Amino acid sequence: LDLENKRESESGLTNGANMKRFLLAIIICTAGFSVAMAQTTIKGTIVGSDGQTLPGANVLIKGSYDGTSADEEGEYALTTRLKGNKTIIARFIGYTLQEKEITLEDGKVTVDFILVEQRDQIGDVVISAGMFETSDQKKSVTLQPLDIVTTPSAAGDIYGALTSLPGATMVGEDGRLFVRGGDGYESKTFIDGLLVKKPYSSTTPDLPARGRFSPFLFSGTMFSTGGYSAEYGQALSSALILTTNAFPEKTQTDLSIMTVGLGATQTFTSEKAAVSLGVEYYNLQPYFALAKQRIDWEKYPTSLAGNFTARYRLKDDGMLKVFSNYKTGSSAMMYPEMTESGNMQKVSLKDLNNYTNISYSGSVGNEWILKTGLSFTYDEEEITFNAFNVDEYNTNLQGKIVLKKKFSRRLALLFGGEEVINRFRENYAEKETAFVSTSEFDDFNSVLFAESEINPMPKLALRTGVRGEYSSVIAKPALAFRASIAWAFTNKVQASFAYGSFYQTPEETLLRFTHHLNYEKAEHFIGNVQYEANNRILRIEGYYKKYADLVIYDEETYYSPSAYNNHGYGYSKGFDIFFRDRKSIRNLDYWISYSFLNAQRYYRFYPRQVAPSFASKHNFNVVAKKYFTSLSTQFGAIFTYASGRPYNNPNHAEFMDEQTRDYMDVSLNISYLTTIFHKSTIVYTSLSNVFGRNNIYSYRYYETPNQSGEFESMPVRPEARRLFLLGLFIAL
Amino acid sequence: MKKLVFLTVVAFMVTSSYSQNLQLENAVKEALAMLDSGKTIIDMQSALNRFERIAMAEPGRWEPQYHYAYAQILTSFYNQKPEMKVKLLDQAEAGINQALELNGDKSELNALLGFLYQARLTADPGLAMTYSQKAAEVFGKALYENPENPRAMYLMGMNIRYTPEGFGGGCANAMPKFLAAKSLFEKEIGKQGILPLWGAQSNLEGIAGCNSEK
Repeated sequence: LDLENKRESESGLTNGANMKRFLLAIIICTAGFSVAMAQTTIKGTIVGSDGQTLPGANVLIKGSYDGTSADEEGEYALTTRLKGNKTIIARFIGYTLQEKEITLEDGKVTVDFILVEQRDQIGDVVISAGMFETSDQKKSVTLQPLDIVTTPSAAGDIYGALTSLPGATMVGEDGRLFVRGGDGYESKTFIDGLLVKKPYSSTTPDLPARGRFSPFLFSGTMFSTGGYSAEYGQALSSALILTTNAFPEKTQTDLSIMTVGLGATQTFTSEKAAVSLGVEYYNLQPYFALAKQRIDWEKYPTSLAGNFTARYRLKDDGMLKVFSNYKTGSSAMMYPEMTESGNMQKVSLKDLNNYTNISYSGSVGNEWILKTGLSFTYDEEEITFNAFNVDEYNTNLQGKIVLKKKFSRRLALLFGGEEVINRFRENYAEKETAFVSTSEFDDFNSVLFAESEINPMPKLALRTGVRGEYSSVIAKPALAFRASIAWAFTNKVQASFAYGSFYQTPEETLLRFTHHLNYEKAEHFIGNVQYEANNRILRIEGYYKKYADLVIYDEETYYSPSAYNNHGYGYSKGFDIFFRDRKSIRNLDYWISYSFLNAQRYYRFYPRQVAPSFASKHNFNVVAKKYFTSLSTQFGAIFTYASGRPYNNPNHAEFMDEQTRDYMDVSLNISYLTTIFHKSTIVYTSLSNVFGRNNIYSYRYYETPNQSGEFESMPVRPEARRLFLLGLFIAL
Repeated sequence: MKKLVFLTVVAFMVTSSYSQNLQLENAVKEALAMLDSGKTIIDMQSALNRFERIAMAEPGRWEPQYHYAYAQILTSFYNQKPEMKVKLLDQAEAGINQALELNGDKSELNALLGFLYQARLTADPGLAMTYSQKAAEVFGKALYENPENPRAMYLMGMNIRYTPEGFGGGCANAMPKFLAAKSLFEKEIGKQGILPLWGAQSNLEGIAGCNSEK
């Protein structure tokens, strides 16, 4: 009232008694109104429909602050000055809110409420068919980034850790990801949405490749075993989508000292920008000198790598990320000359790789989110055998742009495009004949894609996408469709189904000889049921994958363009079971995964449709990790079983009719958190194949028969029976 | 006369919105006091109910949502039943998102979101790593939006303090954040109103706790 009077005098409108009276009337009226309002008391009880009293339930008059809480007997009494028709609301956490219309008059009113228990609310359903999300999202966490580092058999390799997940097959001598009966080349890796052309390190024959990038660089891993988003393509089987770490927290120095090498990283941060520089040097000589290897090394493997990452915050939640990795390495080993048993040759390897990725993501107004970036790969690999050498040069540049908008909780749209320029050159030179052959080509792959996600109701999600590609080498367009649907039965049980068609330009090693080829094609049908509650997850997923237009060629005349065509085909079918429990025993986390795979294909040099050499029917893994708080130590163990893999014995008329013995491995690791000179330190150690089983991955056969007319075989085995690692990771 | 009526109406609107503001401010203050003095779950629940009523009566403003979410997070620490904790935190998270949609102070809301992640962490220690990382990320955002936000600074300190030393945590690493927060909180002394103002005391306790650990 004071204020009003003040305003009145300030405005100088005091002339005329009328005015004054007018205002006074208003003032008196308002004041009188509130004084004249007698109070009403509303009383009653609030109970649950199950008869339970609900102490602490909230009762309020809609649109006002007036209200109270029920006492321990579930009774309440609420006094208000409000009058007329009002809505009374009763609410208690876990129960459905209830409204009652009443008329407030002088005196007392009794209003009782019986609240109905809320069935567990179904959160928005997430499509999970074919997807192993390992990011830091709250829902559907199946594997976290740190889990990768602490999976004992992985030896710090991302791909090694993924083979303990269902859908992936153990192919020990190769190291790449083999997913659901697909070959290694059918899986592609993406970092922050952008392609990594050469995600694996280069190796000499029969030695497994490792991922080029340290798992510590990533905060999220999305491993798709099929049916993935239209944003990704050129991969018939699988997409591994990695997200680099967010803004680092503080300026620090990290050092690593391992039995196999040394590394150092320096991170600088400010509010706006963060930069980190790292260097890694690996030399296997000290370790190999101590631990006997099956391989005779002429030059022990060494590598030197440097990496650079930068983050820059921009306005509108924008973030610019730069990630660059440079690596060079060399090695030389003795390997049989496969012509005849006993003859050894020196195989040496030199390689150099640069991968740079620049990405931006931020909002561009009107709630549109823009994600765009460039990725660049330069890769050089020189392998020298006794009789010939092969030098391969690959340059790859990708530009990509994606726009996203969430129109409401019910509808989201995404569309974008990308251009990938791939330049490949290979020099093949024979020493004795001085025969030299160079093959080279450029491919421009242009892509447009769009995807929509609709949630007509919280328990239903539908995603449909389309992706159009045009490769200049193939000179034909391809149109791929993706669709998935998810339904939540309860907030714990949900089912998903996914369909997708996928196209992939044939590998460079095939395009070397002819460009008269078409895209290889796959179709996926995936269905799953998932139960997830209280840190336990059980997922059962079945799939059928159909391959068409696979490239086949005649092994004898592989150099002739006419030897190649797209008449191959195949299928994979099977199911995966995954169970993870972090609940039952304190600080124990374990998961069990089983995959059944039935795959057959007619492709490459195969004379007809058979089970391919990389497909083992049964893959079984148990991983367990327990953290002991009192010891600050985590112990990890993994048991891996893979049934025998098919191989071809040239002494038999039948193609691929033999099978290796089953693969079995038990690996252990220990991570101890401590401080050395007051600096945080992790001491890590791991040992593979604890029981020393003689595992055999496959067999190679010599090209010429021995005196008794028999082709002799050579087993392909791990480079050593066991692998021991010890490392110190210090944060300064 | 027209002018007069117009001015009267304006004056009326100003006063009524002023008194409405005052009413909101007082209601929030009272509820905060209830929360502070609350000793039992029932006390906390009454305070929560009060916040809920304010938030429901003021659907267009972000501050009541902020305070309601803050109260729920705080209550979740006291609540013994894990399912109840999760329910409270789910509601609080929805409230923070709503406040963000109402164009609330992004720095304060991100700091509160980080506080919520810390509460989720205690409700589900199996996901400690995940939530501590998520919290660190939103605290970073909060400080980017407003480097002077004492709550973001203090909570970041807490996050570091309870991260194992092996992962770069512990008091030694947390202390600089606490001290920075302390001087930021000092700038807030004397401020009043409906905007978030909590945390100075807890920050001092954080400092004292770390000092006594030495």
